[in-house]
Amino acid sequence: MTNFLQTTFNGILTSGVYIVVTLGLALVFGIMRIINFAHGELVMIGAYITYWMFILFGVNPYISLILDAGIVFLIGVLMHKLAIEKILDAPSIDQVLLTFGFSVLFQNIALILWTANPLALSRETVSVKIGNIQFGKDRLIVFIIGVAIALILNFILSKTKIGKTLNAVSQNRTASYLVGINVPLFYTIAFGISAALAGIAGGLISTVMYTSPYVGARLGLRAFAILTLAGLGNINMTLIASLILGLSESYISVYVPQGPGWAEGVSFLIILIVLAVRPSGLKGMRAE
Amino acid sequence: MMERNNIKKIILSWIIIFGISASIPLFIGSYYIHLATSVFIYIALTIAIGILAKTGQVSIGQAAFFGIGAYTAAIFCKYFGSSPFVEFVLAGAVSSIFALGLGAITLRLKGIYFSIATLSFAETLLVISNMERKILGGATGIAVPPLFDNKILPNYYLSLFLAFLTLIIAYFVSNSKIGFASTVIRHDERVANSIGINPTKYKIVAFLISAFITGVIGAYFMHYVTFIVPDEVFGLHISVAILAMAIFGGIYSVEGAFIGAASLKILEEYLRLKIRYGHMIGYGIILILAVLFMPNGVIGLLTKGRKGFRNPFKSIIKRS
Repeated sequence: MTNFLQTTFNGILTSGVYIVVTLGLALVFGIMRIINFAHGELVMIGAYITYWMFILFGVNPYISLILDAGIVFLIGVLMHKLAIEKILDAPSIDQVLLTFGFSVLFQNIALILWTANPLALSRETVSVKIGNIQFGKDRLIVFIIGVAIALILNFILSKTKIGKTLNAVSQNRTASYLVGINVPLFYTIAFGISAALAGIAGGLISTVMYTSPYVGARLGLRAFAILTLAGLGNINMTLIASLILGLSESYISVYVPQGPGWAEGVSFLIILIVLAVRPSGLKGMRAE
Repeated sequence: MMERNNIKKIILSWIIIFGISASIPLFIGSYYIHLATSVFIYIALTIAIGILAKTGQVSIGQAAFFGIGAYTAAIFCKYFGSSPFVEFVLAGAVSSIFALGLGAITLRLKGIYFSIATLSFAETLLVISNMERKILGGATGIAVPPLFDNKILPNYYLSLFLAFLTLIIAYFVSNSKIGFASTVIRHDERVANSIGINPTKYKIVAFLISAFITGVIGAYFMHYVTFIVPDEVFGLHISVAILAMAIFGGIYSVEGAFIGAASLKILEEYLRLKIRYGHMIGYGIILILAVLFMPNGVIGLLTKGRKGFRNPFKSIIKRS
């Protein structure tokens, strides 16, 4: 029973990072209808920034989050201005190939700079114990920050002027032009925010996972699965979908023989099942 | 379709290229023959993804079918002792069956679902093949006896044969109803529907053909290298290479696949020697630049001249 509670708790804690990664991906997809296959790699960049800030200057990983957000925001804006913006009206095959190209580029730059060795932030890890459940303090903090960011983003998107403008742009680009919205500017902002979220997610995971050039790719796949399951425009659904993925991975890791391996396949299974059951796609992602 | 005169020209030029390819081993050393063999492997793989790309769908997990082909061949060889050439067909068939399942679910949807699902599929197979020790050999890999006693020349000619067979199949497909339907679907699915073309059906057919060829080549690769670990066949680098070759040469043309695979495979070998980690960076750069500046690839530049270039700095956002 203790084991079961522990496993459940681990799953819940993991989902905190998934939420932040997915929100960034969903933001760009919702507004520009582009799936950024390099999103995971932006996460990876954030993780490396936090890692090196800690190793070189001893900066606390949670303070580095601001830096992660800033730097990756700039990378995102550059990427958008130099490339993504040019192919907004191109066939989707071009959009896929372009963002996938960035994913390959970032991954290999990381490989060249830091090789494939997984790096761990070696800090004193404080364990927290509640009853029979035990977990690292960092994992709890990461979860709390993850959920907090989800709620803040939800607030920004639904209540502030910038959020409402983004919403308008995503609904009808032409009409947004007509009412005087600077559409290219808001696309850039949206892409930048999405990248900043990826950077923050990266900073968070560097404290609880190994940092390697491939860490982003694995998280990216999970974010695709959560996005498929949750659909767009509903933060609560994203929270629930992240929990479903986090928990199922956690249970499979523990209760299935060779579980940690099979757990990697859960994302794919989710994508396949959702698409099989709801062929028209989930809410907000219809086939047309 | 094509004019008669044109067909003659095309056939003649391919015969010349075939002749040159068949006689190269006389002039080059064994290292280069190995390189040429892998060039032909990738030519076939790139042509195969092109058949699918013609419908407007892009698979970023072609490694899945390559790996399924390789493992199918290995398993049949190991447990049933079948002849390699039976294995080739079986490998293609098994790949197609997986493609049918995946395609039936994801190809009904337009857009990016198919790409996401294929990527995820390949990554999942990579994990499973790394983990499953009893049948697939796990991370330590799986071995089969070599073809032709591991002699280098027969292997070279078999790869040459497979590449040109793929080429011929691709020509037939692109001049058949499938090719016509694919082009219409890529441009506008509504138009396709209105003239009695079922987009889903043709997308699946193109995917099956593509997966079949990729599976056969996977089986050949298995016998060519005789020993594989999962990452060699299911690894992302294979899917990346195929995509970069396809877009660089010209993703909608058979000739483009040939040019793209031949030039980039050689570039890859060069970079591999120069850069210890991360030599795939070349593919990333090529993918980005090709999409931005020459979406029709080298072939687009050759056939359309300056129109083959896309000027990304002109008109940033058009009306939706």
